[in-house]
Amino acid sequence: MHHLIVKRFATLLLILLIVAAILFALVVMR
Amino acid sequence: MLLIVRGIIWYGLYLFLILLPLITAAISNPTRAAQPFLVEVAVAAGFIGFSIMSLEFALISRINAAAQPFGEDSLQLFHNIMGTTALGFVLAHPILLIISGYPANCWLNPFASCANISTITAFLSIVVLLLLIITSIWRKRLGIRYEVWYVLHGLFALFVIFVALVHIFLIGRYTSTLEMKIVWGIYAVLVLGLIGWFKIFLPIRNWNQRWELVENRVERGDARTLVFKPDAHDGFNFKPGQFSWIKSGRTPFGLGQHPISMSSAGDVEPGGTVSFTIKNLGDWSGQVVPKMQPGERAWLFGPHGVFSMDREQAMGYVFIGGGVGITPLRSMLHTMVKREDNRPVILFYGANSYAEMTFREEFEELARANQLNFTFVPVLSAPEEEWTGETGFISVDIMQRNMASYEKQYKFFKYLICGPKPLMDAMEEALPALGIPPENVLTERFDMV
Repeated sequence: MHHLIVKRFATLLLILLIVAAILFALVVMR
Repeated sequence: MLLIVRGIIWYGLYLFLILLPLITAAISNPTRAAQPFLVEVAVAAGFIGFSIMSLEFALISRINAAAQPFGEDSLQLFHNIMGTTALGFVLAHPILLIISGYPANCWLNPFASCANISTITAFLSIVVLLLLIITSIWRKRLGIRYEVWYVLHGLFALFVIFVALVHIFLIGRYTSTLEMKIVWGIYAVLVLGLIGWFKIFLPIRNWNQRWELVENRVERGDARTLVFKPDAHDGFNFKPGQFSWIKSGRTPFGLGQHPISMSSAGDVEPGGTVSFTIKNLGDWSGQVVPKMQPGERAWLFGPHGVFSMDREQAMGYVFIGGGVGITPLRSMLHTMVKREDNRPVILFYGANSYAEMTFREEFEELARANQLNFTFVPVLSAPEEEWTGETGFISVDIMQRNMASYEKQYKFFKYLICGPKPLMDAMEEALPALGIPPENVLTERFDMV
């Protein structure tokens, strides 16, 4: 269903962004 | 280009724009003191929260190219979810900083002696963002009128972005390089540009798209049908099931645009009329719509939306509607009549009582007249005493019983559902139980704003 797909996209995005935040911290701390 | 490819491109662009400040900060490597890991994660969370908030404007700016692959209702839902996500990232920013040893008192109490402009801007942006989210999620429960909320929502959002930008520059840790200054400049231009596009450019472009009300008809179920004809232009054609934003009043500028599904048939000839059926929900629909007189002008911005049988070709259709959610389904049925489309179509229509069932005579007539291969199944939750049809709410049992003659085919039909949230939730359970794959189901949230 449409709104379930939207929620899945948003969840995927949330995971990507959390990973990105951690990666950012690791990169700038080098 | 395939819609799915365009969808992926837009999703990628959105992700890239959210990450742009982080990528630029990591690459441009501004000179600064080394910070602990949690502090850098907190910085990233703050940047991500800021980018999401700025892009919230883009999701609801009715940029057609972006809305086409997803549908505006999906973008609106995505906007709502991402708003809460932004709040999560923004809140993570001070929480992680305080865990890392930043003095909570200076940041959480704007009157503390150690407070300064950068702590106060941080405090203000978070408080106003909280207000923005609370008034959005609980608007109806808080009794805030849609028009008032709409103004507040825009003002709160602009305030939060402006104050957060001031905060970022006052802290200054990631604004020292030219690249970072350019990135923050891009965000400021993006937000202002989108507001200009949405509030000024679109209304001017649509200035001549005026429509004249030719009929304001009372319908069953405390609803009204407004029939408009184009005023000195060709009007528009639409796919059955789509909606338009209606703006009544003297100009296309300002507040009070309402997303309403067309209830008349699609395949409109140039200059043809379009109809909208609006249930009295107390606000604009109850106070302004009943008073609209034939001859009055209004602006229609549309058509929009992807909830249409035209996007979902199938050997047959099952329409499931509740309350005024019947309107896009009615549009599809009338379009099928117009097209002499004789694929099987079954309509499950939930309402309180027979007396309140909007358009019921029409559907009964359609089922009798054999114009369509049409089965009409009214389901009443508070039926009159003499009612002998289906009662309660639309359920697996009711659906199975009434689709028995299509036992071998119904799994291949497409299911289009439009109605209140409880109906949507019930169908989310019922359709998998009937063995209907999710890709055969299309839903429309009619309470999207």
